[in-house]
Amino acid sequence: MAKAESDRIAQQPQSRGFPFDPADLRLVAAYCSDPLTRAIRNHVLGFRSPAWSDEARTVLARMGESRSDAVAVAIRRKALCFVETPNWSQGVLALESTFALNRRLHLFRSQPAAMWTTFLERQLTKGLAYFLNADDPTAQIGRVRALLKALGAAHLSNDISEVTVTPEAPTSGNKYIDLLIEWQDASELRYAVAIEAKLGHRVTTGQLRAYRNHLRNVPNERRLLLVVSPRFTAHMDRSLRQNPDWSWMAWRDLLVAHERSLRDEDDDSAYRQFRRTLWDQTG
Amino acid sequence: MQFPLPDSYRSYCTDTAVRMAVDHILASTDKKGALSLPSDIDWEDLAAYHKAVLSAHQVRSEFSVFLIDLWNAVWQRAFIECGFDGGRDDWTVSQAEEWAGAKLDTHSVWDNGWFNRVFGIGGGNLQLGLAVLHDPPEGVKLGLCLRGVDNTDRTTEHDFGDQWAEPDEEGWIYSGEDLARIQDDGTIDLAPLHEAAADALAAIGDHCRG
Repeated sequence: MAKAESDRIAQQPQSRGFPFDPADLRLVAAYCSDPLTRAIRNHVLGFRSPAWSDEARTVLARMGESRSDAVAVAIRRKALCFVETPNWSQGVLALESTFALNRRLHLFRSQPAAMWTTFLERQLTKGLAYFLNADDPTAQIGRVRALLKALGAAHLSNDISEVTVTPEAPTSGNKYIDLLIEWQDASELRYAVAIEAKLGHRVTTGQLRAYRNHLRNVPNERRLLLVVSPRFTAHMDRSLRQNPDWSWMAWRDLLVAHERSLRDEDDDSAYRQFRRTLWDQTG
Repeated sequence: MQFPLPDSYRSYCTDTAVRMAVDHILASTDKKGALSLPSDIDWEDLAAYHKAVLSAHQVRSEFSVFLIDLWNAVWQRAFIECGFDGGRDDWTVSQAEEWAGAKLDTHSVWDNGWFNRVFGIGGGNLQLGLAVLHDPPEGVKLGLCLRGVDNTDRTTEHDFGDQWAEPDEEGWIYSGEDLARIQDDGTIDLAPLHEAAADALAAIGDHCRG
Protein backbone atom coordinates (compact mmCIF):
# COMPACT_ATOMS: atom_id res chain seq x y z
CA MET A 1 0.00 0.00 0.00
CA ALA A 2 1.36 3.42 -0.89
CA LYS A 3 2.57 5.52 2.05
CA ALA A 4 0.29 8.38 1.06
CA GLU A 5 -2.69 6.06 1.17
CA SER A 6 -1.59 4.66 4.50
CA ASP A 7 -1.15 8.15 5.96
CA ARG A 8 -4.54 9.21 4.68
CA ILE A 9 -6.20 6.28 6.44
CA ALA A 10 -4.23 6.75 9.63
CA GLN A 11 -5.21 10.40 10.09
CA GLN A 12 -6.42 11.46 13.53
CA PRO A 13 -10.15 10.85 13.90
CA GLN A 14 -10.99 14.41 14.86
CA SER A 15 -9.74 15.62 11.49
CA ARG A 16 -12.11 13.34 9.60
CA GLY A 17 -15.84 13.03 9.56
CA PHE A 18 -18.03 10.14 10.61
CA PRO A 19 -19.32 7.58 9.92
CA PHE A 20 -16.23 5.51 9.41
CA ASP A 21 -15.89 3.71 6.11
CA PRO A 22 -14.81 0.12 6.77
CA ALA A 23 -13.34 -0.04 3.27
CA ASP A 24 -10.32 1.85 4.57
CA LEU A 25 -9.75 -0.67 7.30
CA ARG A 26 -10.06 -3.56 4.90
CA LEU A 27 -7.54 -1.86 2.66
CA VAL A 28 -5.06 -1.81 5.53
CA ALA A 29 -5.94 -5.35 6.49
CA ALA A 30 -5.20 -6.56 2.97
CA TYR A 31 -1.53 -5.98 3.70
CA CYS A 32 -1.47 -7.80 7.03
CA SER A 33 -1.51 -11.50 7.78
CA ASP A 34 -2.25 -11.95 11.47
CA PRO A 35 -5.46 -13.75 12.50
CA LEU A 36 -7.28 -10.59 13.45
CA THR A 37 -6.67 -8.85 10.18
CA ARG A 38 -7.51 -12.03 8.30
CA ALA A 39 -10.82 -11.96 10.13
CA ILE A 40 -11.31 -8.34 9.11
CA ARG A 41 -10.41 -9.16 5.53
CA ASN A 42 -12.81 -12.08 5.46
CA HIS A 43 -15.60 -9.92 6.85
CA VAL A 44 -15.81 -12.12 9.94
CA LEU A 45 -15.52 -9.10 12.19
CA GLY A 46 -18.34 -6.66 11.95
CA PHE A 47 -18.24 -2.91 12.25
CA ARG A 48 -20.60 -0.82 14.25
CA SER A 49 -20.73 2.61 15.73
CA PRO A 50 -18.87 2.82 19.01
CA ALA A 51 -20.53 3.90 22.22
CA TRP A 52 -17.47 4.77 24.23
CA SER A 53 -17.18 7.21 27.06
CA ASP A 54 -15.04 10.27 26.43
CA GLU A 55 -12.45 8.87 28.81
CA ALA A 56 -12.28 5.56 26.95
CA ARG A 57 -11.94 7.39 23.63
CA THR A 58 -9.06 9.44 24.95
CA VAL A 59 -7.22 6.40 26.28
CA LEU A 60 -7.76 4.39 23.12
CA ALA A 61 -6.79 7.28 20.88
CA ARG A 62 -3.57 7.65 22.86
CA MET A 63 -2.88 3.94 22.46
CA GLY A 64 -3.38 4.18 18.74
CA GLU A 65 -1.35 7.34 18.16
CA SER A 66 2.03 5.71 17.99
CA ARG A 67 1.00 2.67 16.01
CA SER A 68 0.11 2.11 12.41
CA ASP A 69 -1.16 -1.47 12.22
CA ALA A 70 -4.70 -2.27 11.25
CA VAL A 71 -6.02 -2.64 14.78
CA ALA A 72 -4.42 0.61 15.90
CA VAL A 73 -6.03 2.36 12.97
CA ALA A 74 -9.34 0.83 13.85
CA ILE A 75 -8.96 1.97 17.44
CA ARG A 76 -7.97 5.44 16.35
CA ARG A 77 -10.86 5.63 13.97
CA LYS A 78 -13.25 4.32 16.64
CA ALA A 79 -14.42 1.62 14.30
CA LEU A 80 -13.79 -1.35 16.56
CA CYS A 81 -16.03 -1.82 19.56
CA PHE A 82 -14.59 -3.59 22.57
CA VAL A 83 -16.65 -5.60 24.99
CA GLU A 84 -15.43 -4.56 28.39
CA THR A 85 -15.84 -6.68 31.49
CA PRO A 86 -19.03 -5.40 33.08
CA ASN A 87 -18.32 -3.01 35.89
CA TRP A 88 -19.38 -4.77 39.07
CA SER A 89 -20.12 -1.57 40.96
CA GLN A 90 -22.80 -0.86 38.36
CA GLY A 91 -23.91 -4.48 38.52
CA VAL A 92 -24.47 -4.43 42.23
CA LEU A 93 -26.33 -1.12 41.91
CA ALA A 94 -28.65 -2.75 39.39
CA LEU A 95 -29.28 -5.67 41.75
CA GLU A 96 -29.97 -3.27 44.61
CA SER A 97 -32.33 -1.26 42.45
CA THR A 98 -34.23 -4.23 41.02
CA PHE A 99 -34.65 -6.02 44.34
CA ALA A 100 -34.81 -2.89 46.54
CA LEU A 101 -31.92 -4.32 48.56
CA ASN A 102 -31.35 -0.97 50.23
CA ARG A 103 -34.48 -1.44 52.28
CA ARG A 104 -33.54 -1.74 55.95
CA LEU A 105 -35.97 -4.61 56.54
CA HIS A 106 -35.50 -6.50 53.28
CA LEU A 107 -36.43 -10.18 53.52
CA PHE A 108 -33.11 -11.14 51.91
CA ARG A 109 -31.34 -9.72 54.95
CA SER A 110 -33.40 -11.79 57.34
CA GLN A 111 -32.25 -15.02 58.94
CA PRO A 112 -33.32 -18.18 57.07
CA ALA A 113 -36.53 -19.81 58.16
CA ALA A 114 -36.64 -22.74 60.53
CA MET A 115 -36.67 -25.60 58.04
CA TRP A 116 -37.97 -28.25 60.41
CA THR A 117 -41.53 -27.28 59.55
CA THR A 118 -43.35 -26.02 56.47
CA PHE A 119 -46.47 -23.93 56.05
CA LEU A 120 -49.71 -25.48 55.00
CA GLU A 121 -51.71 -23.30 52.61
CA ARG A 122 -54.15 -22.38 55.37
CA GLN A 123 -51.35 -21.33 57.73
CA LEU A 124 -49.74 -19.32 55.00
CA THR A 125 -52.81 -17.28 54.16
CA LYS A 126 -53.73 -16.80 57.80
CA GLY A 127 -50.19 -15.62 58.47
CA LEU A 128 -50.27 -13.20 55.58
CA ALA A 129 -53.64 -11.84 56.70
CA TYR A 130 -52.32 -11.46 60.25
CA PHE A 131 -49.41 -9.33 59.12
CA LEU A 132 -51.48 -7.31 56.66
CA ASN A 133 -53.92 -6.53 59.46
CA ALA A 134 -51.27 -4.65 61.45
CA ASP A 135 -52.44 -3.02 64.68
CA ASP A 136 -51.29 0.36 63.43
CA PRO A 137 -53.88 1.47 60.81
CA THR A 138 -51.23 3.38 58.86
CA ALA A 139 -49.04 0.31 58.65
CA GLN A 140 -52.07 -1.80 57.69
CA ILE A 141 -52.99 0.47 54.78
CA GLY A 142 -49.32 0.75 53.79
CA ARG A 143 -48.84 -3.01 53.71
CA VAL A 144 -52.04 -3.61 51.78
CA ARG A 145 -51.18 -0.89 49.25
CA ALA A 146 -47.72 -2.42 48.79
CA LEU A 147 -49.19 -5.88 48.32
CA LEU A 148 -51.80 -4.64 45.85
CA LYS A 149 -49.07 -2.91 43.87
CA ALA A 150 -47.04 -6.12 43.91
CA LEU A 151 -50.07 -8.07 42.74
CA GLY A 152 -50.49 -5.68 39.83
CA ALA A 153 -53.74 -4.38 41.35
CA ALA A 154 -52.65 -0.80 42.02
CA HIS A 155 -54.69 0.32 39.02
CA LEU A 156 -57.96 -0.67 40.71
CA SER A 157 -57.91 2.22 43.16
CA ASN A 158 -55.32 3.71 45.43
CA ASP A 159 -58.07 5.48 47.34
CA ILE A 160 -58.02 3.23 50.41
CA SER A 161 -58.94 4.65 53.77
CA GLU A 162 -60.29 1.44 55.26
CA VAL A 163 -59.63 -2.10 54.19
CA THR A 164 -60.76 -5.57 55.22
CA VAL A 165 -58.40 -8.50 54.88
CA THR A 166 -60.09 -11.85 55.42
CA PRO A 167 -58.35 -15.21 55.39
CA GLU A 168 -60.56 -18.14 54.44
CA ALA A 169 -63.47 -15.98 53.33
CA PRO A 170 -66.51 -18.29 53.09
CA THR A 171 -68.37 -18.66 49.80
CA SER A 172 -71.17 -20.95 48.72
CA GLY A 173 -70.79 -24.73 48.79
CA ASN A 174 -68.42 -24.86 51.77
CA LYS A 175 -65.65 -23.27 49.76
CA TYR A 176 -63.31 -20.58 51.07
CA ILE A 177 -61.34 -17.89 49.31
CA ASP A 178 -57.84 -18.15 50.77
CA LEU A 179 -57.36 -14.40 51.08
CA LEU A 180 -59.90 -11.70 50.30
CA ILE A 181 -58.98 -8.03 50.36
CA GLU A 182 -61.89 -5.61 50.15
CA TRP A 183 -62.18 -1.84 50.38
CA GLN A 184 -64.31 1.10 49.32
CA ASP A 185 -63.15 4.35 47.81
CA ALA A 186 -64.41 7.83 48.74
CA SER A 187 -67.36 7.32 46.38
CA GLU A 188 -68.22 4.12 48.25
CA LEU A 189 -67.43 1.98 45.24
CA ARG A 190 -66.50 -1.54 46.31
CA TYR A 191 -63.21 -3.18 45.26
CA ALA A 192 -62.01 -6.76 45.84
CA VAL A 193 -58.91 -8.83 45.33
CA ALA A 194 -59.25 -12.59 45.75
CA ILE A 195 -56.10 -14.66 46.16
CA GLU A 196 -56.08 -18.42 45.82
CA ALA A 197 -52.82 -19.39 47.49
CA LYS A 198 -51.23 -22.68 46.48
CA LEU A 199 -48.14 -24.30 47.92
CA GLY A 200 -48.36 -27.91 46.87
CA HIS A 201 -51.98 -28.56 46.03
CA ARG A 202 -53.74 -28.12 42.71
CA VAL A 203 -56.67 -25.89 41.92
CA THR A 204 -59.73 -28.14 42.24
CA THR A 205 -62.64 -28.33 39.85
CA GLY A 206 -65.18 -25.58 40.35
CA GLN A 207 -63.09 -23.75 42.91
CA LEU A 208 -62.22 -20.69 40.85
CA ARG A 209 -65.69 -20.43 39.32
CA ALA A 210 -67.29 -20.47 42.80
CA TYR A 211 -65.04 -17.68 44.03
CA ARG A 212 -65.72 -15.56 40.97
CA ASN A 213 -69.45 -16.06 41.45
CA HIS A 214 -69.07 -14.95 45.05
CA LEU A 215 -67.66 -11.66 43.76
CA ARG A 216 -70.11 -11.29 40.87
CA ASN A 217 -71.44 -8.03 42.35
CA VAL A 218 -68.01 -6.44 42.00
CA PRO A 219 -67.49 -5.35 38.37
CA ASN A 220 -64.48 -6.69 36.49
CA GLU A 221 -62.73 -3.35 36.47
CA ARG A 222 -62.87 -3.19 40.27
CA ARG A 223 -61.68 -6.67 41.10
CA LEU A 224 -58.67 -8.91 40.63
CA LEU A 225 -58.76 -12.69 40.82
CA LEU A 226 -55.35 -14.25 41.22
CA VAL A 227 -53.86 -17.68 41.84
CA VAL A 228 -50.44 -17.56 43.52
CA SER A 229 -48.31 -20.69 43.47
CA PRO A 230 -44.62 -21.61 43.31
CA ARG A 231 -44.65 -22.35 39.59
CA PHE A 232 -46.85 -22.42 36.51
CA THR A 233 -47.85 -25.98 35.63
CA ALA A 234 -49.78 -27.56 32.80
CA HIS A 235 -52.64 -28.14 35.22
CA MET A 236 -52.60 -24.46 36.18
CA ASP A 237 -52.65 -23.56 32.48
CA ARG A 238 -55.77 -25.69 31.95
CA SER A 239 -57.47 -24.23 35.03
CA LEU A 240 -56.86 -20.67 33.89
CA ARG A 241 -58.08 -21.42 30.36
CA GLN A 242 -61.33 -22.60 31.90
CA ASN A 243 -61.46 -19.53 34.16
CA PRO A 244 -60.25 -16.61 32.05
CA ASP A 245 -61.16 -14.07 34.74
CA TRP A 246 -58.30 -15.42 36.82
CA SER A 247 -54.61 -14.72 36.39
CA TRP A 248 -51.52 -16.26 37.92
CA MET A 249 -48.41 -15.12 39.72
CA ALA A 250 -45.41 -16.92 41.22
CA TRP A 251 -44.92 -16.55 44.96
CA ARG A 252 -41.36 -15.38 44.56
CA ASP A 253 -42.27 -12.80 41.92
CA LEU A 254 -44.92 -11.52 44.31
CA LEU A 255 -42.43 -11.33 47.16
CA VAL A 256 -39.80 -9.53 45.03
CA ALA A 257 -42.38 -6.97 43.93
CA HIS A 258 -43.68 -6.62 47.49
CA GLU A 259 -40.18 -5.81 48.77
CA ARG A 260 -39.93 -3.11 46.10
CA SER A 261 -43.20 -1.47 47.07
CA LEU A 262 -43.20 -1.92 50.85
CA ARG A 263 -41.91 1.04 52.87
CA ASP A 264 -39.67 0.39 55.86
CA GLU A 265 -41.97 2.46 58.08
CA ASP A 266 -44.84 0.05 57.35
CA ASP A 267 -42.69 -3.02 57.97
CA ASP A 268 -41.33 -4.77 61.06
CA SER A 269 -38.93 -7.60 61.78
CA ALA A 270 -41.67 -10.17 62.46
CA TYR A 271 -43.35 -9.50 59.10
CA ARG A 272 -39.95 -9.64 57.42
CA GLN A 273 -39.24 -13.03 59.03
CA PHE A 274 -42.61 -14.28 57.82
CA ARG A 275 -41.80 -13.19 54.25
CA ARG A 276 -38.41 -14.85 54.46
CA THR A 277 -40.06 -18.08 55.59
CA LEU A 278 -42.49 -17.77 52.71
CA TRP A 279 -39.57 -17.20 50.33
CA ASP A 280 -37.72 -20.26 51.56
CA GLN A 281 -40.79 -22.46 51.23
CA THR A 282 -41.97 -21.30 47.81
CA GLY A 283 -38.82 -21.90 45.73
CA MET B 1 0.45 -14.82 48.87
CA GLN B 2 -2.99 -13.28 48.70
CA PHE B 3 -5.30 -14.35 45.89
CA PRO B 4 -8.13 -11.89 45.14
CA LEU B 5 -11.67 -13.00 44.38
CA PRO B 6 -13.40 -11.26 41.47
CA ASP B 7 -15.47 -8.34 42.81
CA SER B 8 -18.66 -9.98 41.62
CA TYR B 9 -18.08 -13.31 43.34
CA ARG B 10 -16.74 -11.63 46.46
CA SER B 11 -19.93 -9.61 46.70
CA TYR B 12 -21.92 -12.83 46.22
CA CYS B 13 -20.02 -14.56 49.02
CA THR B 14 -20.09 -11.74 51.53
CA ASP B 15 -23.51 -10.10 51.02
CA THR B 16 -26.46 -12.40 51.74
CA ALA B 17 -28.91 -10.14 49.95
CA VAL B 18 -26.81 -10.05 46.78
CA ARG B 19 -26.47 -13.83 46.97
CA MET B 20 -30.23 -14.36 47.24
CA ALA B 21 -30.93 -11.93 44.40
CA VAL B 22 -28.35 -13.61 42.14
CA ASP B 23 -29.60 -17.09 43.04
CA HIS B 24 -33.17 -16.02 42.26
CA ILE B 25 -32.24 -14.59 38.86
CA LEU B 26 -30.12 -17.58 37.88
CA ALA B 27 -32.68 -20.12 39.06
CA SER B 28 -35.39 -18.26 37.15
CA THR B 29 -33.54 -17.51 33.93
CA ASP B 30 -32.29 -21.09 33.67
CA LYS B 31 -35.93 -21.99 33.16
CA LYS B 32 -36.86 -20.30 29.92
CA GLY B 33 -38.98 -17.24 30.43
CA ALA B 34 -39.51 -17.86 34.11
CA LEU B 35 -38.03 -14.60 35.39
CA SER B 36 -40.92 -12.17 35.32
CA LEU B 37 -40.59 -8.44 35.43
CA PRO B 38 -41.65 -7.14 38.83
CA SER B 39 -45.30 -6.20 38.42
CA ASP B 40 -44.69 -2.66 39.65
CA ILE B 41 -41.71 -1.94 37.42
CA ASP B 42 -41.76 1.29 35.45
CA TRP B 43 -39.85 2.42 32.39
CA GLU B 44 -37.11 4.10 34.42
CA ASP B 45 -36.31 0.83 36.22
CA LEU B 46 -36.35 -1.42 33.18
CA ALA B 47 -32.70 -0.96 32.23
CA ALA B 48 -31.59 -1.67 35.80
CA TYR B 49 -33.60 -4.90 35.72
CA HIS B 50 -31.76 -6.10 32.64
CA LYS B 51 -28.44 -5.03 34.13
CA ALA B 52 -29.32 -7.03 37.23
CA VAL B 53 -29.84 -10.11 35.05
CA LEU B 54 -26.47 -9.47 33.40
CA SER B 55 -24.86 -9.07 36.82
CA ALA B 56 -26.17 -12.42 38.02
CA HIS B 57 -24.69 -14.11 34.97
CA GLN B 58 -21.48 -12.18 35.48
CA VAL B 59 -21.16 -13.67 38.97
CA ARG B 60 -21.60 -17.18 37.59
CA SER B 61 -19.17 -16.75 34.70
CA GLU B 62 -16.51 -15.07 36.81
CA PHE B 63 -16.78 -17.90 39.33
CA SER B 64 -15.61 -20.37 36.67
CA VAL B 65 -12.73 -18.08 35.73
CA PHE B 66 -11.89 -17.69 39.41
CA LEU B 67 -11.64 -21.46 39.93
CA ILE B 68 -9.47 -21.88 36.82
CA ASP B 69 -7.15 -19.08 37.96
CA LEU B 70 -7.07 -20.57 41.44
CA TRP B 71 -6.28 -24.03 40.06
CA ASN B 72 -3.33 -22.57 38.14
CA ALA B 73 -2.14 -20.57 41.14
CA VAL B 74 -2.12 -23.67 43.35
CA TRP B 75 -1.67 -26.88 41.36
CA GLN B 76 0.27 -25.50 38.40
CA ARG B 77 2.66 -23.82 40.77
CA ALA B 78 2.96 -26.97 42.90
CA PHE B 79 3.90 -28.98 39.80
CA ILE B 80 6.67 -26.53 39.00
CA GLU B 81 7.95 -26.16 42.56
CA CYS B 82 8.02 -29.92 43.10
CA GLY B 83 10.00 -30.39 39.91
CA PHE B 84 7.17 -32.25 38.18
CA ASP B 85 7.08 -29.94 35.21
CA GLY B 86 7.26 -32.78 32.72
CA GLY B 87 6.48 -36.45 32.61
CA ARG B 88 2.75 -36.12 32.62
CA ASP B 89 0.11 -36.45 29.98
CA ASP B 90 -2.40 -33.60 30.13
CA TRP B 91 -5.86 -34.95 29.39
CA THR B 92 -8.30 -32.96 27.31
CA VAL B 93 -11.19 -31.04 28.84
CA SER B 94 -13.78 -33.57 27.68
CA GLN B 95 -11.67 -36.49 28.95
CA ALA B 96 -11.30 -34.78 32.32
CA GLU B 97 -15.06 -34.18 32.49
CA GLU B 98 -15.82 -37.83 31.83
CA TRP B 99 -13.14 -39.12 34.20
CA ALA B 100 -14.29 -37.02 37.14
CA GLY B 101 -17.99 -37.21 36.28
CA ALA B 102 -18.24 -33.43 36.50
CA LYS B 103 -18.94 -31.21 33.51
CA LEU B 104 -16.85 -28.07 33.20
CA ASP B 105 -19.33 -25.77 31.47
CA THR B 106 -20.30 -22.54 33.24
CA HIS B 107 -23.53 -23.90 34.75
CA SER B 108 -21.98 -27.11 36.00
CA VAL B 109 -18.94 -25.44 37.54
CA TRP B 110 -21.32 -23.07 39.31
CA ASP B 111 -23.71 -25.78 40.46
CA ASN B 112 -20.95 -28.11 41.64
CA GLY B 113 -18.52 -25.44 42.88
CA TRP B 114 -15.89 -27.61 41.26
CA PHE B 115 -13.10 -27.41 38.67
CA ASN B 116 -10.66 -30.21 37.93
CA ARG B 117 -8.02 -31.36 35.50
CA VAL B 118 -6.69 -34.87 34.91
CA PHE B 119 -3.19 -36.09 34.07
CA GLY B 120 -1.73 -39.40 33.04
CA ILE B 121 1.39 -40.06 35.13
CA GLY B 122 3.75 -42.90 35.98
CA GLY B 123 4.39 -43.66 32.36
CA GLY B 124 0.66 -43.80 31.66
CA ASN B 125 -0.11 -46.34 34.40
CA LEU B 126 -1.85 -43.88 36.71
CA GLN B 127 -4.44 -41.16 36.36
CA LEU B 128 -4.26 -38.12 38.60
CA GLY B 129 -7.25 -35.82 39.09
CA LEU B 130 -6.62 -32.46 40.75
CA ALA B 131 -9.46 -30.17 41.70
CA VAL B 132 -10.33 -26.91 43.40
CA LEU B 133 -13.71 -26.47 45.08
CA HIS B 134 -15.63 -23.65 46.65
CA ASP B 135 -19.03 -23.79 48.27
CA PRO B 136 -19.58 -20.71 50.42
CA PRO B 137 -19.57 -20.16 53.34
CA GLU B 138 -16.95 -22.92 53.48
CA GLY B 139 -13.40 -22.09 52.55
CA VAL B 140 -11.70 -23.12 49.34
CA LYS B 141 -10.75 -26.80 49.23
CA LEU B 142 -8.39 -28.82 47.10
CA GLY B 143 -9.26 -32.26 45.76
CA LEU B 144 -7.05 -35.10 44.57
CA CYS B 145 -7.76 -38.56 43.19
CA LEU B 146 -5.31 -41.18 41.98
CA ARG B 147 -6.52 -44.15 39.96
CA GLY B 148 -4.95 -47.01 38.06
CA VAL B 149 -5.66 -47.48 34.37
CA ASP B 150 -8.25 -50.10 35.31
CA ASN B 151 -9.98 -47.42 37.40
CA THR B 152 -8.80 -48.95 40.66
CA ASP B 153 -8.32 -46.69 43.66
CA ARG B 154 -4.67 -45.80 44.22
CA THR B 155 -5.29 -42.80 46.46
CA THR B 156 -5.45 -44.80 49.66
CA GLU B 157 -1.93 -46.17 49.15
CA HIS B 158 -0.43 -42.82 50.04
CA ASP B 159 -0.17 -40.59 53.06
CA PHE B 160 -0.91 -37.04 51.94
CA GLY B 161 -0.35 -35.30 55.26
CA ASP B 162 -2.46 -33.82 58.03
CA GLN B 163 -4.20 -31.27 55.85
CA TRP B 164 -6.01 -33.93 53.86
CA ALA B 165 -9.10 -35.85 54.98
CA GLU B 166 -9.90 -39.51 54.38
CA PRO B 167 -10.88 -40.49 50.82
CA ASP B 168 -14.56 -40.53 49.90
CA GLU B 169 -16.22 -43.52 48.23
CA GLU B 170 -14.94 -42.45 44.80
CA GLY B 171 -11.36 -42.19 45.99
CA TRP B 172 -11.15 -38.38 46.16
CA ILE B 173 -9.44 -36.77 49.12
CA TYR B 174 -10.05 -33.16 50.10
CA SER B 175 -8.19 -30.57 52.09
CA GLY B 176 -9.94 -29.20 55.18
CA GLU B 177 -12.59 -26.52 54.68
CA ASP B 178 -10.89 -24.16 57.12
CA LEU B 179 -7.64 -24.17 55.22
CA ALA B 180 -8.39 -21.15 53.04
CA ARG B 181 -11.36 -19.03 53.97
CA ILE B 182 -12.26 -15.76 52.27
CA GLN B 183 -10.71 -12.97 54.32
CA ASP B 184 -12.30 -9.64 55.12
CA ASP B 185 -10.35 -7.92 52.35
CA GLY B 186 -11.82 -10.33 49.77
CA THR B 187 -8.68 -12.37 49.27
CA ILE B 188 -7.64 -15.93 50.01
CA ASP B 189 -4.31 -16.72 51.63
CA LEU B 190 -2.76 -19.25 49.27
CA ALA B 191 0.07 -20.32 51.58
CA PRO B 192 -1.85 -23.16 53.30
CA LEU B 193 -3.14 -24.37 49.92
CA HIS B 194 0.36 -24.29 48.44
CA GLU B 195 1.59 -26.33 51.38
CA ALA B 196 -1.22 -28.89 51.08
CA ALA B 197 -0.71 -29.18 47.31
CA ALA B 198 3.05 -29.59 47.71
CA ASP B 199 2.55 -32.26 50.41
CA ALA B 200 0.16 -34.15 48.14
CA LEU B 201 2.42 -34.07 45.10
CA ALA B 202 5.42 -35.03 47.23
CA ALA B 203 3.49 -38.08 48.43
CA ILE B 204 3.07 -39.31 44.88
CA GLY B 205 6.34 -37.86 43.67
CA ASP B 206 7.76 -41.12 42.35
CA HIS B 207 4.88 -41.36 39.90
CA CYS B 208 5.10 -37.75 38.80
CA ARG B 209 8.72 -37.55 37.70
CA GLY B 210 9.21 -38.07 34.04
